[in-house]
Amino acid sequence: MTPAHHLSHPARAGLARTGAAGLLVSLLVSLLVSLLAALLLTVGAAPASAHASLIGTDPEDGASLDALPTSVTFEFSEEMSDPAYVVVTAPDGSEVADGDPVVSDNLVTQALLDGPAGAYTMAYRVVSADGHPVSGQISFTVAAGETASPSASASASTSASASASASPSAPATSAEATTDGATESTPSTEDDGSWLSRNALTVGVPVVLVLLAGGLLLLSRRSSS
Amino acid sequence: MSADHTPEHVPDGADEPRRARGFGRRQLLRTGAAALGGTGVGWVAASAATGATGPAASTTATGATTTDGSAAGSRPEVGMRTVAFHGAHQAGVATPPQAYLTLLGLDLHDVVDREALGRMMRLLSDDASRLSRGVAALADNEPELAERPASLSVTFGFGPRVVREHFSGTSMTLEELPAFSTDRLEDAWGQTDVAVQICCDDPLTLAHCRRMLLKDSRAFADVRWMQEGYRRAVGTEAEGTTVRNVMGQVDGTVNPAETDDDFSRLIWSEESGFEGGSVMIVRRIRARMESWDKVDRAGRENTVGRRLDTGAPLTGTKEHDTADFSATDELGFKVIDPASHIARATARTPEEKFLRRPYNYTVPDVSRPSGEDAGLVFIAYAADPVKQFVPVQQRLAELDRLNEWITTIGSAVYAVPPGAADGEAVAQHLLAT
Repeated sequence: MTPAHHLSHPARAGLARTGAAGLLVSLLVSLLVSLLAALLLTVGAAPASAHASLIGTDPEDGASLDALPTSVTFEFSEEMSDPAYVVVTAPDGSEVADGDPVVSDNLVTQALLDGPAGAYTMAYRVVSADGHPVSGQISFTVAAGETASPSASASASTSASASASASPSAPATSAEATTDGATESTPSTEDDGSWLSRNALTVGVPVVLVLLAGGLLLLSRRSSS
Repeated sequence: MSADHTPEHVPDGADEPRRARGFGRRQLLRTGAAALGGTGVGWVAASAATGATGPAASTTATGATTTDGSAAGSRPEVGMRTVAFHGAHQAGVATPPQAYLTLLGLDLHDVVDREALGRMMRLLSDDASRLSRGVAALADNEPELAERPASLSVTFGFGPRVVREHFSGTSMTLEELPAFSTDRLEDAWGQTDVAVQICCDDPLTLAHCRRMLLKDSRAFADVRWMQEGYRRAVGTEAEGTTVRNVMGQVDGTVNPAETDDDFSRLIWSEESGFEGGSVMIVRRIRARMESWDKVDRAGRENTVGRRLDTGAPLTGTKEHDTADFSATDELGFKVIDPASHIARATARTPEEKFLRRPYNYTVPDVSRPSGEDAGLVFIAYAADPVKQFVPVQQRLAELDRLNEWITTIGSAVYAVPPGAADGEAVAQHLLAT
């Protein structure tokens, strides 16, 4: 006899005999079967442990800016250790990061030089307090405004408008959108997403199974009376 | 599984007595609950095992490749191996590290002058010379314990005060190591007048030698500290395999070899009256294993700059591949973190090299959550630590990702005189009156 037969047979009998309680048992059993199937599918995957992740950037991923800001900021889910590394690449391929990034708790801020209008990428490589390296990149665009020509004479007005739009006090205006963007555009990112989403199976499945087991035990006590 | 029992209690028919069916379902429910509970536990266990698969598998592979095929229990030659005590250099410096270490830190009694120190050295040199050959020391109450020298070596060093106050006829000078910002030194592990490094492939022979040396030094000096350490037991790995530290890292890959052209220049002193001597640097480095436990393999490898399995630099595939500190990844970042241990420790001048001869330590400490105090008895030799060792240590104190998990709690430096000729004692000429 197959195990499926053992399972289905008494469930059917219970349903016929005791109605609601039997229905519950039947539901629990089918839940169990699908959970076991899910478990078998995923048991080979190594669970990720809790690591820092990027939760926001300023500018946001995909943002269109009127001017290049004087600095860019990455916000992470936990404290970062010093040093962190940032590369900001201008549309002409030049590097516009000015000096080393500053690490302050969970914020990493990089001062920028002037740069031309066009598509920028800003990449980060940081190490969280537990030593785990995390890297990735986002992109944004600087529109060609009235000072479209990226000449030296235009840089004064560019940086003036940049500081107005940089809003350094709000580095994480749209955390979820930014995180998603970073994940997609980041081949080397080690871990992304929240701890719970990454550990849902590891934590959730045993919890659900134990709860189910408790439920079944309870039912078994009742039906034995 | 116990689910197999259910058919006996659940006859295949709807018209079976009610009691039997009820019992059967109850059985099934209990069995299912047990199975579920078991699965829940098993899931967690499987998760843990998945993480452990990597290291366990690689350990097995390493063991298999390094077994030399000789039958266990038929290797008395390990016990009979000897390391010459007498020679141009003291034993225990260029000697391939034995499995076990005791480092003794002795403070001379106030009344011990140069002449008395010379007498102590004659006694201790005689003990070391005999025991290294497998011969009982004079007045040895346990002569049988001396019969297996097991590559015993004894190395004597003298602290800055002794060099200053008692050495004569040499241009050799010795300063205490400077304070490093990351050090958290404990007096219990500080600088002493004399250091005796005892190394052996057998812990019992080592213990006997230690006992004899302490017995004969008792009239001259007090023991301040005793640092015990260990590497792999003989036969565990192929000889010459780079040792791993308690943090799991292959430790000591880039180390001068006696066959290197600059080995002599780097290790052996050329100071007049001290030719063939060296300087021993001792650092007791505690590892915070409780927090290191929270660092995953990616974090551990990034911290050091080497792979855990092979010990290869993150830019290479084999342990002895040269690290490429300029290599970058697809985002433009250095593959080897510039703040990693090897990036910071690597020699920036031809002078910044020294011979590392470290031993792991683990001592019980029930006051810690881990139940132990573990780390490294870092012992290194250099002709001139000020030029060779201090710049590297200063760089590591400034920045090294590993500093998050290690702290130096003991620091000392000792002049290691040249080896003694047959029938002579170590430092005999330096202590001549």
